[in-house]
Amino acid sequence: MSPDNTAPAHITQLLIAWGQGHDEALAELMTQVYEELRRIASAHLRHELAGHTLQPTALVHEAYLRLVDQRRVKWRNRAQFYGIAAQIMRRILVDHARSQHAAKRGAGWELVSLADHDPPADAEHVDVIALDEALLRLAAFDGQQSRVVELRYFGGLTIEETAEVMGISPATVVREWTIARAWLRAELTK
Amino acid sequence: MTPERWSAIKEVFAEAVTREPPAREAFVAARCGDDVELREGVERLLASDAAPGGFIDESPVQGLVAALAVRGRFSGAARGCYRLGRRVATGGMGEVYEATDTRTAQRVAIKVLTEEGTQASARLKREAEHASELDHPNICTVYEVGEDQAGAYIAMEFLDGTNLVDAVPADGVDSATALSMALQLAEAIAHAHGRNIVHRDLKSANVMVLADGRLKVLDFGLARRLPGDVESAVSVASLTEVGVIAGTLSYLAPELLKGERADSRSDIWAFGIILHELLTGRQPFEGRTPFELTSAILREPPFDLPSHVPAGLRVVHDNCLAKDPTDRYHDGSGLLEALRAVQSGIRVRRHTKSRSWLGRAALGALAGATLLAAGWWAVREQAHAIPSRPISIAVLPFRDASVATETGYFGDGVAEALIDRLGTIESLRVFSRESAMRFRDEQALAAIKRELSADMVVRGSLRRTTDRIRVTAELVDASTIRPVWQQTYERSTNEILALENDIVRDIADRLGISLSASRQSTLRVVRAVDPVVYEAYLKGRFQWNKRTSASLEQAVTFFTSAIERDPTYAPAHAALADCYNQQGTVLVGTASPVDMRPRAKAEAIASIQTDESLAEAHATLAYVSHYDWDWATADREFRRALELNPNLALAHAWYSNYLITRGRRDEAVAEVRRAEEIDPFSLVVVTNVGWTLSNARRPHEAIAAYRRALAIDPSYVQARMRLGSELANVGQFDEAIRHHQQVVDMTNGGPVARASLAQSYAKAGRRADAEEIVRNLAEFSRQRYVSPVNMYLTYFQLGDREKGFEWLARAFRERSNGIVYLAAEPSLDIVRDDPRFQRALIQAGLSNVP
Repeated sequence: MSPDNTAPAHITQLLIAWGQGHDEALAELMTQVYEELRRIASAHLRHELAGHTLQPTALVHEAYLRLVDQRRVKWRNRAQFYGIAAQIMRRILVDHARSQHAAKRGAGWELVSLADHDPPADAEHVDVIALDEALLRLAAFDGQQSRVVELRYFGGLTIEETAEVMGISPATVVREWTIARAWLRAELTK
Repeated sequence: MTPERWSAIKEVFAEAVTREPPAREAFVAARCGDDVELREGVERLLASDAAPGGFIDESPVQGLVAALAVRGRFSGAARGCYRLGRRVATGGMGEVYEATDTRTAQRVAIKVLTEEGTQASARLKREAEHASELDHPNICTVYEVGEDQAGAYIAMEFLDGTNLVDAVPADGVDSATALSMALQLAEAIAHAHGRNIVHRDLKSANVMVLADGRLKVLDFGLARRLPGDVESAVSVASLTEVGVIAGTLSYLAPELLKGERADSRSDIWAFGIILHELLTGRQPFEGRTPFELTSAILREPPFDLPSHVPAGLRVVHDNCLAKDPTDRYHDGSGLLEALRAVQSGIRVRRHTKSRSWLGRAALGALAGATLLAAGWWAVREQAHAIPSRPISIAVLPFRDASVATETGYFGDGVAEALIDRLGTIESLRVFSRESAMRFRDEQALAAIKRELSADMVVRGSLRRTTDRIRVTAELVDASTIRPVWQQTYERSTNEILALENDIVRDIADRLGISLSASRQSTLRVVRAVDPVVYEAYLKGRFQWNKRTSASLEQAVTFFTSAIERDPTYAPAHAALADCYNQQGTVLVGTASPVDMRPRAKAEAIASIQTDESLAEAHATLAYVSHYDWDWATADREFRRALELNPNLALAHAWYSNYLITRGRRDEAVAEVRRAEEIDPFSLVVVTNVGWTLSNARRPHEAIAAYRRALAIDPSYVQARMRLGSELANVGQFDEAIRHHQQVVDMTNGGPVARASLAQSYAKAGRRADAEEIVRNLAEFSRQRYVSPVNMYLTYFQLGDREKGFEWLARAFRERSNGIVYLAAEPSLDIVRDDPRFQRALIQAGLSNVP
């Protein structure tokens, strides 16, 4: 990959193009954002030993700062960027959970020892795969709520940021978040 | 849910949640009125909202970072028939992923090539095909080079270990460790050079150290050709890829820096650099810039080695790092020879105290002689040093080099006979046929060491004419892959049994095992066997081992013809007994167990009457007696079988079945674990581990065992079916049902599979689904045979005791195999309180089972 592909100018151009309705720009955007997220994560892991902890919002913010020429994009493009990033992060987590799951099912049999127990039932433990599936069901009758959860949970955005990205009031975000959360929890524990 | 319904629920919830509980209920009741669905929707949300714990409040950023860090661009993608998982390394030519071969479920490593690698893919493909011929325990095996629209990739052996760069401490390793590592590298290099393959990019970063200390050289023959002249190598290094090229630059031989082509001697140079790193932890040449480094390589002598390095290793080190390639060992074999001489020199010195290091000139002459002595010494020592732990042996199929050979049955047969007879020696642990014979080809040796962790391997070849047979047997030390003993035997064909006994006795002797008097006499029984009978017997075994209903029928024909010609040939009776037994089982069988059991029993007894010492006959008799509820005979015969051959995996597994039905859980688990030790790759055995654990009420371990079986073969229906049932027992209904549905598909709606699915539905509370299946099955049973065991299990699960006991009565009439598990099976706990069940236990002689 030649270096200029990830230059802010290039990403910004893609964002603008996509904002103008050029759908083909999206795939390229996704790839670039994904690669950037990976770079940030690896860099973070290298520094983790030094005692850094990552704030939930940091990944997506850092990706944005590194990828996009802020002087040139409009508010709308920025919202789109965060939307894309959250979507990608969701996909990564779900794929990861699936592959973990597959490994446990015995992709390499030596991995599964007799002492291998299922993880203990844990109230805090969220089954990402089940959450993802429930979120798909939710999207079928309430797309706005599903997006709120995607941005907040997978993207790590705050209430205010979510409101800004979605163009709705923070109060609406809080209400939608509360209800979606209650519904999802009921779905995951039924 | 419709959006309209949902917005109604949201509206009521949003208002209700602002009220305190007593008023809240009244509010919800008032707002919802008769609309039950609305009220339930709102109440569900309210309850969920009030539950403690911070559900999804924390964004999973740490998990994301972890996921991203192990993910590469291709994680989760498919390349060819490989599914890529986590990224395990990033290198010059591309990224390496852990992956699964979807055809075999085998774990492999996939190197995905960068654009540059892909550009070179035509050449690469050619070279990799060449490299994939390399088969050596110290070389990472290349399986294939593939190409798809995303570019080229290389599939190779997955290695779990540490890179040599990270494994060597800052001040190097001690001389003995360095020597043993150097020997392994030299073995790899010699092997490749012997096949005209040059590595070209040998360096520490291309060597992995496995957990057991074994070294593996990566990328043999796959290295990209470096630009042939100094200038381009250095100029590239000084531009973009400082790390990559500079890392390689340190290992480049002087002649390469002068623009000559790489050959075996430039690999020797690179080896010299690695040896220096091993001994000191640092490079022999250094420079602050690529130019300085190049200059040092061309002109400077290497840094001094520490004083503790033995003279022999210094000689090898200096030879490898000679500036003029003609002064170096010509190739890997010369290097290996020298290192082996060093090894024996050190040994000789240690043991005789005074033996000075012989000069370099004597190296070659010394090598041959001392090597043999050293090899001998090692084996003798090993044999005497490990009486506490049984020596484990794997016997490979013998190669049949006869002129007219229709199939491998004779070579397999000899190997199997050796497995049987070596198995009777108590201080040996002999892997069963099924586990050992997975490793059929030459690649076997490395895999055997790794996957079976066998100490010794027996292999050989044979040649037959009409009246003579000649067998060459070889004993190979699995850790060094070096033969430690070889012997050729020749006898007339009717003395094949005696010949096999000779081999077994000699192997035992070689391993320093003294045989008990009774074993000696068993092995001395020299019984002539008509070659025609023996041949029919071996052909029968060959078919029998395939374990399909068709091959079983052929096996019966062969064994019967052997018996017709010689009714006193006991092994044929024993084998025939087992055939009948197999034919009466649910899985491969085509006949009812009630019909087959008496025939199996008759043959087993016939076998024992002609030759009491055949373990297999006793095991079959025990098995039949067990399912005939003849507990005393079963117990006695199992113990006799295992006394005669403690390495008979199936007998351990069957005995475990017996013990579990008698409520002797701990013994049962111990027996089945023993079976798995002997036969870790047998689907029947591993599935039986699960089954025993399940009945021993250790569901999570049982689930793990079933998953192990499925990892060996995902299409093994029995394991998947039992896994489903066990998951349902622990409340994991969704996965249970998924497995059972899969089994229904895989068996085209087989009645056992459908019944299992119904039981899972019933356990999950999906009554209607369960009832529908059981209705269909009852209907189906009017036309075709349905095992009553599955029917009563399903009816009991549904709480329909009347029907359940009806089918149980039928099972009693048929003497179904399932009856013996009445006391043990966890699924039957729900009817244990019923007096009718108590009566059934009494009837089967199981009422005294704890």
